[in-house]
Amino acid sequence: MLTHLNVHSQFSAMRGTASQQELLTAARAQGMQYLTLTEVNGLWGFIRFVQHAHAAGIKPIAGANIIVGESDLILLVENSAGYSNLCRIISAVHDDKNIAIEELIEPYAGGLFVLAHRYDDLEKLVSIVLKSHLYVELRPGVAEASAKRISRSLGLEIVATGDIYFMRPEDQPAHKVLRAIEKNATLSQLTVADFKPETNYFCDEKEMIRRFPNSLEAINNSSFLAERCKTDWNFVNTIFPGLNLKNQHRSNAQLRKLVEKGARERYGTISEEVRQRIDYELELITQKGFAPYFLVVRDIVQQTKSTIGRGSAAASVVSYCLFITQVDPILFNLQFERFIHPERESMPDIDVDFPWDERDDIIDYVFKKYGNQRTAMVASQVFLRPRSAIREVAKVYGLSNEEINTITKRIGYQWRTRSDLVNWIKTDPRFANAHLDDTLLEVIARSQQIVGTFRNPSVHPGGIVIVPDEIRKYVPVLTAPKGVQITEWEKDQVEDSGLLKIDLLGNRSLAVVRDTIKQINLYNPKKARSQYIDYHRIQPIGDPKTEALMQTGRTMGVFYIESPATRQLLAKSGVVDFEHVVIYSSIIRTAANRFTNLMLERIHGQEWEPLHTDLDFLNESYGIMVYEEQVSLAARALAGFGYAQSDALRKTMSRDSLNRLIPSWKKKFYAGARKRGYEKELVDKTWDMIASFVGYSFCKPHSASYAMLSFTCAYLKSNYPAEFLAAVISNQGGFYSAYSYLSEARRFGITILPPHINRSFREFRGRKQQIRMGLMVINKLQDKAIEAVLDERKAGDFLNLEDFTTRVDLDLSDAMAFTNAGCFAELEPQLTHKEIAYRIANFYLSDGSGRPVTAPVKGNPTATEKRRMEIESFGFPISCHPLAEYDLFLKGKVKKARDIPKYVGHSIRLAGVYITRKVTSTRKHDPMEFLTLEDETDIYECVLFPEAYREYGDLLNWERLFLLRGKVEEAFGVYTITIEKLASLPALIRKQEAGIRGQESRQKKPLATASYV
Amino acid sequence: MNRAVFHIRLKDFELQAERILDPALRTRPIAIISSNRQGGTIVALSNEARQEGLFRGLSVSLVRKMSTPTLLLPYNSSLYARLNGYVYSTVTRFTPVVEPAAYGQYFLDMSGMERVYRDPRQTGFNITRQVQDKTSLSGVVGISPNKLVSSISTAVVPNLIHRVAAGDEPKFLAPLPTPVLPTSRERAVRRILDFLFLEQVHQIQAVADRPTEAATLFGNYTRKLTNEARGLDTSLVQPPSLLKHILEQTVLPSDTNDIDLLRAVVRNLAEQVAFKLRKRGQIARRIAVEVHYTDGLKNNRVSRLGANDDAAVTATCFHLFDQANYRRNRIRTVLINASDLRYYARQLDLFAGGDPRDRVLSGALDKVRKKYGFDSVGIAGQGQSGGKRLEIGKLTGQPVTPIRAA
Repeated sequence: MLTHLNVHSQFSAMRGTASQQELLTAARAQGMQYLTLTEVNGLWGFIRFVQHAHAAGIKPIAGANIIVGESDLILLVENSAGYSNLCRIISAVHDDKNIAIEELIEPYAGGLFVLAHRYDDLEKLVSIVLKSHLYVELRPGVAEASAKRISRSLGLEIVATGDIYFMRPEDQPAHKVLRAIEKNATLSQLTVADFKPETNYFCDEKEMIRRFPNSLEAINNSSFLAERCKTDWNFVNTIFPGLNLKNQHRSNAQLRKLVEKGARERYGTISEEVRQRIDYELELITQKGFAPYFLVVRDIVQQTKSTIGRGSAAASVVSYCLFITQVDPILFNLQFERFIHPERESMPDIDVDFPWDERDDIIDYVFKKYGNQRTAMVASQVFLRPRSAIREVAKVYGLSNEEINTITKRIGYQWRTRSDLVNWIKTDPRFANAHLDDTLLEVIARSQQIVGTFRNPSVHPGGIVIVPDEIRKYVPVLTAPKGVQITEWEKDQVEDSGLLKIDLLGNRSLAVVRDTIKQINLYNPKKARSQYIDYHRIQPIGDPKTEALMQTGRTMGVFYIESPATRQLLAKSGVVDFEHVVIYSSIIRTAANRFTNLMLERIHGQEWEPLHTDLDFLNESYGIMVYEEQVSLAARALAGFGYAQSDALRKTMSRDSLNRLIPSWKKKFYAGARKRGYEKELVDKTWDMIASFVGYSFCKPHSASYAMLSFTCAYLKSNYPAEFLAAVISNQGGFYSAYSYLSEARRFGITILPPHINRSFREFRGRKQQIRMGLMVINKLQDKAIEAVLDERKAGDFLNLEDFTTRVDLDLSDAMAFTNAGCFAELEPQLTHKEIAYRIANFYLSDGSGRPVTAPVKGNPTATEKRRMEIESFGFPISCHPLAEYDLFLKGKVKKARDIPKYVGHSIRLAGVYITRKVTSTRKHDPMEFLTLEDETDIYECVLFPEAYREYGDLLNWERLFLLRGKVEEAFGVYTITIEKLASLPALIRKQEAGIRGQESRQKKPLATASYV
Repeated sequence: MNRAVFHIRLKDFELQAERILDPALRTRPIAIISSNRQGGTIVALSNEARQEGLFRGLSVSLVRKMSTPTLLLPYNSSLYARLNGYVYSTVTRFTPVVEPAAYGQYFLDMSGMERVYRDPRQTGFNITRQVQDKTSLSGVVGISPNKLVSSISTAVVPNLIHRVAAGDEPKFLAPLPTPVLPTSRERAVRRILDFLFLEQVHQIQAVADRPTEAATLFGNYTRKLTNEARGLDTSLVQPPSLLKHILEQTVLPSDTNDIDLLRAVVRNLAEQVAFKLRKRGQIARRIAVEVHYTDGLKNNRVSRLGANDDAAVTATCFHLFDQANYRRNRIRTVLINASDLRYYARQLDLFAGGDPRDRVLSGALDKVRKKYGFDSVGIAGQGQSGGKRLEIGKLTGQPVTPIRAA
């Protein structure tokens, strides 16, 4: 009887092509009871494997294929101690890829079975590992006679394995491509040792007997050995970090003391309602032993001022009083049970956001406090998705970046799970002009076979694991290239394994808030210190200016509600109190578009009836399901699920990795509801809403946390727009480009000042109605040059150009960058730009011995030259709008964006600069696109329905300036342009100019001897 | 004796060649592209295509996205090479000193031929007419005392014949944009010119009049740039046989990164270089192998040769090729350039060097090749390139016929 003990799945980075489910299904089909996964130097997908194996009715065995230097061993786990040792061994291999096997195995041999096929390895191991735990491995490529000879000479038993890397022999080319990707080689550069032959597929027992006809005992041994391995895996026990595990009582007392103190700060006098809530929460927290966890998180949060606790933790008054979260759960009616429920099995998680540029310091603090021994960051596992797979395979086939981009640029993020690449790319209109030749088709076909393969680990943005003793006992760890220790598992596997994860994420908007406040306080020095704006004291809710800003949808730069879709939603609804913004934050999901429209109609007064009295919890959101907890409540109300079951359904809907379980949950939901006598129509409607939560959804406390930050940002933007938008641009990474934010600033009447050698800082600075561009915006300027200028300026402003050149030591290229950006213009107002350029060139190029260079050209640059310099320096023009160049051509031919409302129902022509776009699909899965453009007067939204998208969608891949014709539509007071015709503005002009030149040249035939002027 | 250098430029040579081959293309918008793949660019295009908004250097992927009715024709290297050779043989009838510069461009040294051809303009006209009569290709002629000014003249003056008299070079160049000067296209020079808004040649001439200032601005490039700005160029027109280097290249009909095929191409080129070296009795002190990738990047490695037999040259070229080709991108062109040629004084080896049989074998091959042509015989490939020799014919577009018994 055969059991495969040497099997590699897609988690063997760039080696295995079979998914875990495929392997388990094949094992089941072959009647195996056990299956081992032995990934190369790792347990990358072990928790998933255990879950899938349980679902498939197979007993999972933990193992790994350790490859160090020439040695190649299979390690199988016999018991829990063996599992810990395996994790330690893998971690040691990650530390040193060339470690000697005796040094690796000797300290951690306990609880492990070791299989090796090389005599050298076995000879070294025979004195370290018990003979009952050491075997000769008979694998494809090893001769039976050779294995028997080793077995006889060392007195060891033989175990046969398949050394499996793919499901079928025809998958071997895909394996070969993976090896070429890994080795950074072409297919023809691979040597035989680099990849496995076709024999290494998931063969059956018959094939194994055919291969090893004289080793039936070795084949049977595989099953006997499998029976001795550990298969009873469960991960119900949570591993706490613990402040002081020996003294839980002390932790509880300390927590209560801190909560009391915080409550006094937050509420002033503690009301009876608050007191009762605190007592209730603390009772549950202490009962479940979570006090050390809260204390650890509080300790971390204390390290900085601007933080925001999000996720379900925002429903806890304890978190609020510990300053972990910023939303009062009592005031905004957030239910604590979403966070910690008496019946909840899984560990609640507290996620905290920090300003993005402070996050690394916070993580350093955690590592310093708890040490590498106990702490690791969570990994992000990077898999080959359609886009990356095509890119990597195309490189193996030698395609250039541009050729690769013709396909990959058309694959959006939302299609990352597509696996039928060939058919999709051949038929989808997005690829209409892609010009697929034979090589490209082969690349796509090969890519299709490797989509889903594990590529490499990276560092999760903020997940961190702290354990009470030794992290290497629980999970293999490695050092990421950026130097931080990470677990092999990603966040979901970490959670499912019982390890406690704390999310410390970087948030740009928190840094924006911090920097805005800093600027406001800096430029208002006359204020008393007590009047300084403070993050915790801003009261944005109810501020009329803030609400007016949100009602008009002018929220570019405002956290979480700045996308075109959300801006339009705010403007369409016109209702922007806190409760509604919490709803909007939750409902903006691709799958919930139709519910958004339904909700808008209800907000605007359309009559509606609750679906059922048992679903009255939906009334707070106009009868529409918007929060995750409503999924659980609906499951409990209609299908009669218990707490644990309903929570599992919620988790399944929101996690990509669990989506395959949705059909079985749907079945259970329908069966439960039918049993309880609910009408099918009601169940259909409810499930329809539940289905809109697939992949991406929020709980109410999380949305409330986000909405609070949105309100804070909106408050700052409406009251201090220059300071706020300067901070948005300086912190980068917003939804829009720096150019778009500067355009938005202009729409707020703010003047944009160019960089100035004495006035500019590294970052953009806003003051009243002006934004001074920061030196960070200048292209080709080295960081050290900015540093040098700012350092020298501490000694006083530069008086003139000569003063600057003598005080600051720069490279010529940096000096040129400063000059072209106009930094010296105000320093030497009597000189023209060209004269300044000559002085700079003269200073940096001459050795001082010669005469200064006399400028043969003087004067200031022309408008065209200026625009060219600005585009080179900043990436966009600042002295005029990008469309200004085309004024002559456009005059009288197009309408202006500010006049759009005058033309409702009419088709008009407009010119526009690209701001942002979003490709999405109709309900029939036809692709369409939302497009945001602007002209000198305003920003406007467009839509390309499938027909227009088929014709013009491709244009958006490469053009930024457009001429369009579209129909003006109005809904709930918001105007959009339905595009009928779209064209590239520069191409149109080039075409027109070429036509004129062509006509002229036809009219004037060249004269054979005419002299050249 | 006044120098007279003619530069003949058959404008949009590739385009004209295609239109000769297929007259139906004469009114259609067409563009010749360097490669049919997405990474290719437009090399030449018709006026009709220009009116569609296309221009030289535009990438093929963008042209396709623009959905113009322009017909994209792949670069037909063998056609252009044949036509170029034919034009070359036509223009050599006017003077023996002809240097082919690029496809469709030729320098003719007509110095001292005033007695034969009295009027240079008329001569230029005759040359273009003869080329047109024989090949239907039309061109323009630039006449000046040197190669630089003549070639600039044909690039910027649309007239059929344009003559720049001796002494008029600075005046002719003064109003032209600076990029016409080859040195101004050097990155370091371009940067300074752009920064200082030196957009026309007369501005460089003005700086050049003050040598210290020019040296401050242009450093090592000063002499070259100022000479060019004044229209000075002392380089000679050199016929291929007098060129001081041997250049062999293969433009692959389809880009590839198949290492076996590429090594076969390198072997073929190396053998051609070795054959020519032995014919001249020379050895190269500098040999460079250059690879041009599909995305336009190129890379080269340089070494020197110790012998000129096939085995030694091939081994050196393989080594250089392996070093130069460190990318996975597909290769479009492989080029071997042997220069710094010296007389090969063969000496007895003091130390055990290469196999003496290699020299004997090369000598034997040379005899066959001289009689039946280079491709009549070759050394069977070894190792990874084994068995690939016959495929070179497919790669280079030229048939390789196995040797037949004489």
